[in-house]
Amino acid sequence: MSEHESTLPGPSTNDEVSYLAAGLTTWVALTFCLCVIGLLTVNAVIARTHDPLAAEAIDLLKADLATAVEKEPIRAQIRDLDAQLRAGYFAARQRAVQGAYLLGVGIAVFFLGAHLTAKFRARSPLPDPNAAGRSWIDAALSLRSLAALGLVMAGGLLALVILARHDASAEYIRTVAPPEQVAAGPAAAEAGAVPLPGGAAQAGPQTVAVAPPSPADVSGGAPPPPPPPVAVEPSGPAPAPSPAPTDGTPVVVATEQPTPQPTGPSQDAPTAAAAGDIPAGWPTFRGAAGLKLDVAKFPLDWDAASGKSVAWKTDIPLPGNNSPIFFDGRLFLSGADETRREVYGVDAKTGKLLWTTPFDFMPGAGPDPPKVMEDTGYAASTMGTDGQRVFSIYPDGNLAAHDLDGKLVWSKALGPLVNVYGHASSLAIYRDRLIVQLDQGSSAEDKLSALIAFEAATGKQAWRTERPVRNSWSSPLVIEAGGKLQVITSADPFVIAYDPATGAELWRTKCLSGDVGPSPTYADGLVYAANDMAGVFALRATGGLGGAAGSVVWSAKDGIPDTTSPAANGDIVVLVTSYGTVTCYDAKKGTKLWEEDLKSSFQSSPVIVGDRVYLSDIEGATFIFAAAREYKALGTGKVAEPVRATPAFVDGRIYLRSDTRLYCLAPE
Amino acid sequence: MRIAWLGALLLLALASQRVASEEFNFPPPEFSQAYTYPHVSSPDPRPGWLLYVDLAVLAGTLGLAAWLALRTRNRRALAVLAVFSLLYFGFFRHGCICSVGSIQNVALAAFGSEYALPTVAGVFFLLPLLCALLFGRVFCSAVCPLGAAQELVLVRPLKVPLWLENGLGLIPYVYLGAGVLFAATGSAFVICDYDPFVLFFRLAGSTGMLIAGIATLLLATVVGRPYCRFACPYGVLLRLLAPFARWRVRITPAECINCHLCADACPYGAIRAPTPEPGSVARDTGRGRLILLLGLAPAFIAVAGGLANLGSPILARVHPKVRLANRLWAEEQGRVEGKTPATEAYEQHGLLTADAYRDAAAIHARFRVGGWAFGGWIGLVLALRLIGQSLRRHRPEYDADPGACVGCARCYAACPVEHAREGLPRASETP
Repeated sequence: MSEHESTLPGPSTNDEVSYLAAGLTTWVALTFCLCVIGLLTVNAVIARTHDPLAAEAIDLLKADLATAVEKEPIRAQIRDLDAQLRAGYFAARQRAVQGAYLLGVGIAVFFLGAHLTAKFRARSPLPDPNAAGRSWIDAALSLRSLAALGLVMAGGLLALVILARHDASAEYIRTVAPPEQVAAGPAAAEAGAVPLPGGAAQAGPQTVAVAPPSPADVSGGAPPPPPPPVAVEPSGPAPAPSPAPTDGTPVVVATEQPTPQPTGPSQDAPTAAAAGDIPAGWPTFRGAAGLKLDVAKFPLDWDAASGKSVAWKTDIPLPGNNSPIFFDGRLFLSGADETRREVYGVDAKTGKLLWTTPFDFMPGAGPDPPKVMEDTGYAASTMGTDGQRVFSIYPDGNLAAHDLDGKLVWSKALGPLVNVYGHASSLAIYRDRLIVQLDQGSSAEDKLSALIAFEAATGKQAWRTERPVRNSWSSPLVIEAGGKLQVITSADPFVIAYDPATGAELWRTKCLSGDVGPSPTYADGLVYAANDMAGVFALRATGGLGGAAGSVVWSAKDGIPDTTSPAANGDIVVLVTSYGTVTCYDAKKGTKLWEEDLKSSFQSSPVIVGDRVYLSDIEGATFIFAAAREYKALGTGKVAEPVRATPAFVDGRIYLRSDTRLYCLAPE
Repeated sequence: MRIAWLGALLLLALASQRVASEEFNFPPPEFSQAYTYPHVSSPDPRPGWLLYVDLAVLAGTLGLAAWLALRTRNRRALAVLAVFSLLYFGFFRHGCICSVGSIQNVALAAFGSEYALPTVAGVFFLLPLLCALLFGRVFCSAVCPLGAAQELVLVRPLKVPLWLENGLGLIPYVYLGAGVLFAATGSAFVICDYDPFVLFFRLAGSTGMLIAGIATLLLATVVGRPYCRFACPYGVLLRLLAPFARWRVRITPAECINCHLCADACPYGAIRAPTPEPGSVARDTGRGRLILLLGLAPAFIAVAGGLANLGSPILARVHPKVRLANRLWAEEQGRVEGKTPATEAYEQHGLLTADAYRDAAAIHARFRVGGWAFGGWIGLVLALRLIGQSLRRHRPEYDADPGACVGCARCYAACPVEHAREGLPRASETP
């Protein structure tokens, strides 16, 4: 026996007996626990075979169900098997719980026995005469231990800092709340509605419809009319009309500073960055730089039947929903059917058809004509001009450039295109470039969509940027904001802005969903994008103190267009649904100002001209009302045929295209 | 013998995995039929009056523990009380609500705008602290089910070196800070999420929790109360208040003979050895170190606070809304493929990602502020503990550290002066 071992008397006979009893109890308890553990293990194996979430038999039955004609018997089989598996599973679980309780009892007895066993073999405590002398050593070691752990903790915090540098949260934080809003408390965070600087209160929780209805669901019955891509949204003094059903939203150069008008609020007139960026006239969808529209010159009413305010009318041989464009005293438009397509030049003063140039179908577009919806047609996209050439694009992806006299300069085949309703996006012009929005595919994962720029003179591709969107029918919009040009595009799910010079993405906002027909519009620093499945959104075109570029200033849900494009002038935003509801919002705050049911159907987009809004329906009637914070009808116009395209407004004359004619409307 | 029960526990770990890993996570059946949904939530909400029964039991056990530890000094009775507490607060009440987790309820109520502190949570938080001010850590001695479980499985205690104990003793402070931070920001109740014992109380939990629980219990068989000493955040509060107790554990009310037997018997290192008077050299050295540490303390606080602030985006990921926003952004930017169930559900509900980003931005802002507080707290604690080790105090006899002593009464049985005072036979007189 060592000197450190106890010299106390050994255990008595009674203690020995108690020790043996405790030891035996411990061993018996241990054996019991092991048996229970074994049974639990067996039970666990059994439970795995009764897992209804991983039952191969059910998966096979479900596969059969998808293809079976008689589904009810298979459904009954699935239900029965599922119930059987669940019953087995939960029975196994109940056994496991019971076994766990038994195990708990066994463990308790085990530890009781272990304690008693340890007690009868307890080591006698020994005094330590050196304990007091070690106190300072212990303190010194403790200091080092604390310092070491402190260093470990500092290292941990440093690791957090390093990881935080690569955290993506900083990116999306910049896209939403402005810096002064970021410190908002939990209430603001949880409320989901953060008032933004400038008083632009964002609407509450944006609950969009769960899923955009398929075309089959739209009308709930007979052949669903395709939601036609919205025609050009007029905005500003010379919004370029676009063919209604398809997205004939010709690219419009948005004016940063709307042209001042003698009456009414400023126009939502997109402007080019500088003179020479966009030719004068009405070159694409929406106005042009330098145009000053004297609203007083435009007629407030007309009647084609009596000829009132009708300067001329000209038959257009082939149909098309594209809007006329204007340059240097001439109008240009295209028409097409399944087998033919033509480009037209019309004298704006007399209405004489100056030239008609057929454009043959190019090889590479596919052997069959493209499938388009009837409302879309074969010439939905509004043309564009750079002042030297006029450009047109068709649903098969053929792109053509003609000179102003109708002679073909160059052409390209970009198709065949994968577009469920038929390609309808109009063209945009930026300096010497032609910009084409080619959104295709039923899903963004198809990776078919792109924004492409071609050299106007030669057709050579200048740049191409892939787009993470599916097919859409909206048109690109070239604007100037903050001294820089942007190309604004709308599709599901993003509104994306690009640099028109390089195609580089400037910002994107995820806010749209479903079939995006309406094209974006722009006024006074805000981009307006809408579609009926998502709502209308006002997005900052440029970043600043108010928020990052693309951040949502406000959004709303009422009166959202399904096909037409919004019109805005910096003070109000006008939305028109295809079934006749006109809704007006405050452009800065998103407050709904008024709503009016015109009891008609529309495929043409509203146009704000000065203090007036012009809106044509498919019966050929044009409603003219005040571009104001209260609804006020000002006049009406009437032509004999349906109107689907959005008119062009040039120098006091309205160029209105119906299904078969082109009208020039001017005050008498 | 040791190998046998160690092996048994390991086998228990393997076999119990199936039991413990079962979680009710079934979707409803796809086809309608007469089907009784199994009861999956635990613990059940308590009717109002039963909550007051819990409060009464808590108050009763605290009072009884104080009486047994301080007045009757009866270790056996304390062990019986510990069994009762384990059964009632642990297995019967499934470990919820407990005083340890109530810290988070208080933190959320204090800093969250939409949470009202339930009365029972408030009482579970305050009552043991009040008792600590009066009687010391009697809550730990025989009332806390976590401590009771560890107390009952301690078979062969090993001594933890003091330097290691002091170093690891920093962890509960960090855990407390983290628990308060995540609760106050509405992110998670991490103290509850990582409670190693609740799995046994509810027979449900993740595999990770099972492993942690088994490991903690295994450790507790040889290291006295490892969770209480090196993790429990509530113990931090008790440790801070217990030194001010009106009545506290005295190893012997009579004169200590400095035999060290009590320190040898204490499995928790709570008994402080006597210290001699420091010499002049030691005093000067200690004074210099103390002045240095006092000067560095603000730097510790500032640096730690700054680092935690900069690292707050990582801390914020604990919040489910931040994780959702991060994932939505990554999907939007094309950095990941596919969708998670959360993002898919978010999209299917037609919710705007802008709203998710805005919510996450606000949460990040809270974490930036909370990061300063959390890091500053760590720096402060480190500085104070370093300063504490630099202070030289003369202690003439063995004394129970009131902050560390859990009132288990083991030292009473080892003290020969207590034996004499109680009239118990000395060892040499036993047959």
